[in-house]
Amino acid sequence: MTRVTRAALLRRALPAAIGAGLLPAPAVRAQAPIEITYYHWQTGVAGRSLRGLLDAFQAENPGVVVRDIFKQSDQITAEIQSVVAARRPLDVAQVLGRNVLFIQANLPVVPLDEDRAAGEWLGRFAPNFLGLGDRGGRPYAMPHSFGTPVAYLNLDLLAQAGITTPPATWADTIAAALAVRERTGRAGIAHIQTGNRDYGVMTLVLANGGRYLSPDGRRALFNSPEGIEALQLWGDLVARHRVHPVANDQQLTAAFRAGQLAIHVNTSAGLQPAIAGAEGRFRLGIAQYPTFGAKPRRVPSSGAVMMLFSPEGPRRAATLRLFEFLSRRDIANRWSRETGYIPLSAEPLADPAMARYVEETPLVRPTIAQMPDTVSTDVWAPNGAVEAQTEVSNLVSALWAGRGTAADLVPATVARIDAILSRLNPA
Amino acid sequence: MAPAPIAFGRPWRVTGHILCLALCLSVVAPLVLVLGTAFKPANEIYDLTPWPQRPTLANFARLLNETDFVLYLWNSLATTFLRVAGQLAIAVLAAYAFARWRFTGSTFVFALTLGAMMIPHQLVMIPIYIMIAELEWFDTWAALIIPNLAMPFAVFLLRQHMMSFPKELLDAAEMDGAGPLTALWRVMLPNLGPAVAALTIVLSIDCWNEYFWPLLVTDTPGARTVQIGIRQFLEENFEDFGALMAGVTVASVPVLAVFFVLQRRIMETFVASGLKG
Amino acid sequence: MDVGQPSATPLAVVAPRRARFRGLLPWLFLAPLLVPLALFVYWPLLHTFFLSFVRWNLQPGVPMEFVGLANYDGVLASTLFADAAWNSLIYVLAAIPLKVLLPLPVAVFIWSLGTAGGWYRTVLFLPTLISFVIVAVVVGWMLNPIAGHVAALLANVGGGFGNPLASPDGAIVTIILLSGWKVFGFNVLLYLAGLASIRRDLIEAMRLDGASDWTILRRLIWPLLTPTTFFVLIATVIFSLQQVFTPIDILTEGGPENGTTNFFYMVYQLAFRTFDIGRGAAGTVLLFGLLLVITLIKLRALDKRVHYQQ
Repeated sequence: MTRVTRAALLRRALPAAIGAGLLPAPAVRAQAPIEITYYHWQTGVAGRSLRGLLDAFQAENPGVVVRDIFKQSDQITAEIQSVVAARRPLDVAQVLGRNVLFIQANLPVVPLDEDRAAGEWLGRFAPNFLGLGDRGGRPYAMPHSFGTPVAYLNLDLLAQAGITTPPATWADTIAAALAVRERTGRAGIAHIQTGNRDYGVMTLVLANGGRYLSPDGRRALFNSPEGIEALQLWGDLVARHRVHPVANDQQLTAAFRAGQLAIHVNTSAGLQPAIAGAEGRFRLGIAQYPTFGAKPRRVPSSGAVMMLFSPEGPRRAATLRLFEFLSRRDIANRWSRETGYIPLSAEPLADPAMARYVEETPLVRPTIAQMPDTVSTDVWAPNGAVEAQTEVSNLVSALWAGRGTAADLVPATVARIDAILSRLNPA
Repeated sequence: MAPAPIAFGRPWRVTGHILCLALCLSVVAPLVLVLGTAFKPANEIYDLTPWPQRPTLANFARLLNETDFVLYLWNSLATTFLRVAGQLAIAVLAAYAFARWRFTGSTFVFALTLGAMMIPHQLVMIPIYIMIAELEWFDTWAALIIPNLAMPFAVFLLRQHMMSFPKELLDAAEMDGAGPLTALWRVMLPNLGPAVAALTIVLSIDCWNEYFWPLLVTDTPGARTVQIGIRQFLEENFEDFGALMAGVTVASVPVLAVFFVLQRRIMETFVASGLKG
Repeated sequence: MDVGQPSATPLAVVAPRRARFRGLLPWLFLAPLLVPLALFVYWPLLHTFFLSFVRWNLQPGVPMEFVGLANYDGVLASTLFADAAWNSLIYVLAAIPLKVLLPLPVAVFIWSLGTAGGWYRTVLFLPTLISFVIVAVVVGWMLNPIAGHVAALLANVGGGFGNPLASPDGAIVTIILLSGWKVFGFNVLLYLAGLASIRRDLIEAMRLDGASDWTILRRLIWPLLTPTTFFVLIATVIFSLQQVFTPIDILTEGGPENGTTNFFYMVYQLAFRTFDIGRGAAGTVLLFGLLLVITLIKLRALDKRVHYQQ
């Protein structure tokens, strides 16, 4: 053989050998760059932060290029579905928690432990954020961009009403709201709704120690004393105490920013806009989500995970390396600082940069303090979620209109929901 | 300009003016809010007076800095122009066929055209998406223009106007030796000014404000249109009314321009002594 | 027919009788329309029709399961269907006086003002230019019961302000009025275009005959506007459910208590919130079929009463 031919052979054999895992390679050295396609909805500040992280990943892995594609959050699941149907390339996508079961049931997701080291890097996350998307004991989702409900406070309004310490329990919160209404005439409190009030109900029920849905999402479990009590609370805020206005999330957020609402229970991810809106108008405070009496605090997270779709081969290997990269504590903390999503690593404050940031930004402290109490959201079954969520929304409307007590209305609603879900999701 | 064609008696005129003024007020009020908020600094946005105490261009600046706005504007302008031109040409030809001639199958095809108006486009999105994927038209102007070239709405409107046109003039032109295309171009079209003007405005607005379809077929900023650009900017700032209103204001200017240029044509009437051409 | 002959009797008009055309020429004129129509409109519809009979998630490599009419049953038996259907009827019926009938006298009035009517024409058309998303957001803001402008105005006058969007009836009325507001100027423009194509010399001729303005309106203008009116009626009904989609999505999400949902919105939710391809496809086919039937009925009933030639 001539030299040239041997060199040519080697050149062809080397990438194949790396690909087959026969030769270890800290970074992929392929002839053509491997392109990973990543669908997400991060834009503006968060979008730039994401691109920064992806560039850092590329620097560490020459030969891999991450192509990120922005699609709006309420369209992205339909987009992913179309992408797979049209056989366009798809490696990783940001998936809303509530869509995880659907994606799993219908799209070719790949379990993350295809990478044998997955146990190690998934273990870097705080354990109460894992578990969403697990099936057959294998992990399918990596936590990525989460928020939790916290109480935003208009400290000036509260001071006018004579409240100087942030309320900690629901009883305190109701008292504060009543004081605001009586002494200032303004609205006292509003609670997050999202998803046609589904998330609001889930938050209240879970916070009271109840259960919302079964793990497979096919049964509603809030027909319990805790669930009924939680729903009655929300009904009372509107119908009996008259401190909670009837309006949608956008209107309530606008009311808070306009200084017309004293307490707004909303996702922690809205911190930056809240700070911007309050500037020069009123003093902004943040408190942890109120507890039900002496019960331990329990709040659902809300947000998105990352899921893997790559077909077998170098793209999958490269994408798994991206997952690992994003799981590192310093990277995850940087992501959290730049975007306002909660830091998801176990013990994020062990990172000095993060500790300094929390020191300097008092408004994020309640969210961080609340992290150990955060649980995963419950997810609806793949079929029938629209009808089921509408039942929940109608229940809340009826409670707000004072058309019955929760003890009367909840059992019937839960029965209807179960009927819908079992009919549309035959076992 | 010719005097008004008919006139109403006093009491009717007054009622008419009151009604129109009320309608105009209902239009102007929200729009003043939009425009005023666009110029407000962040901490004034939720103040109830619609206009700013300390007007600022900060919202516009942010919009232009954080998005590739000029590129999006160019994409929107070019694709709108090409698409509307295509839609008009196709609709004029088709409407002429329906209005001028009776031929086997004409009712059936017209019914099909009308039927197409009833297909809700968002709901048949996925099969179209798969086709675009097979044609590899993602991020191209082709994907924004070609699937929407058949506009049954336009065909229907033009057909109505064409059927009101005196047939004798077309017959006369053809007896003089003009081919059907010439008859269409020289005789019929000049007298369809109002309809074509109205249609151009409508098709332009429809294309300009389109959001759902461009979102689906453009992945990269290079091919993005103005509406997508604005919505992307607002994905993160959806509560930021200042930026929202600034974006809307900027995005509305080109369509407003088209409207102003064409709206006079809509009021043109036939000169009393005869038809044009 | 003698053009330009003054006549005191109403013009006898019928749809013109056209000679039957043999030959390919009409098809050549139609071809540029029919090709994109077939490819990008009817082929997806057929594909959707096909999808409505299977249970499949569109993924290549995954087998489809033929389920007959199960998807259709799933749509019709849905707990949302009864309210969606009833509201759809309300939306369609309410659209007619608001969007078809009311713009007509307004257009005639503006037309009667001649050049001076230009201002009204322009201002009324402005809502059409702005994307409905923004309109919905702004209206949500104005109607905010706590921080909105209407609440503030009423507070000054001493009244309270509930949220019209909080009750099912108030919400659907608000949505209907909003949708009417959005397209009003556009329909006025369409009528103006129709009025503009009426030949002035015919009007002059009738006036010379001593006809009053009202007679001219009744005997000449109205019949000659029927093609445009017909068009506006058909288009409004066809698009009535789609036109309210944006405000529903932004302001009420179909609620409260299913008060504002309609069949289009319901199918949209099935297809895009839960990605239920089968039921979404079945719903789309049902919606298309329904609109087709309604339009055919209207065509049959009304086409004879439309006057074309002047």
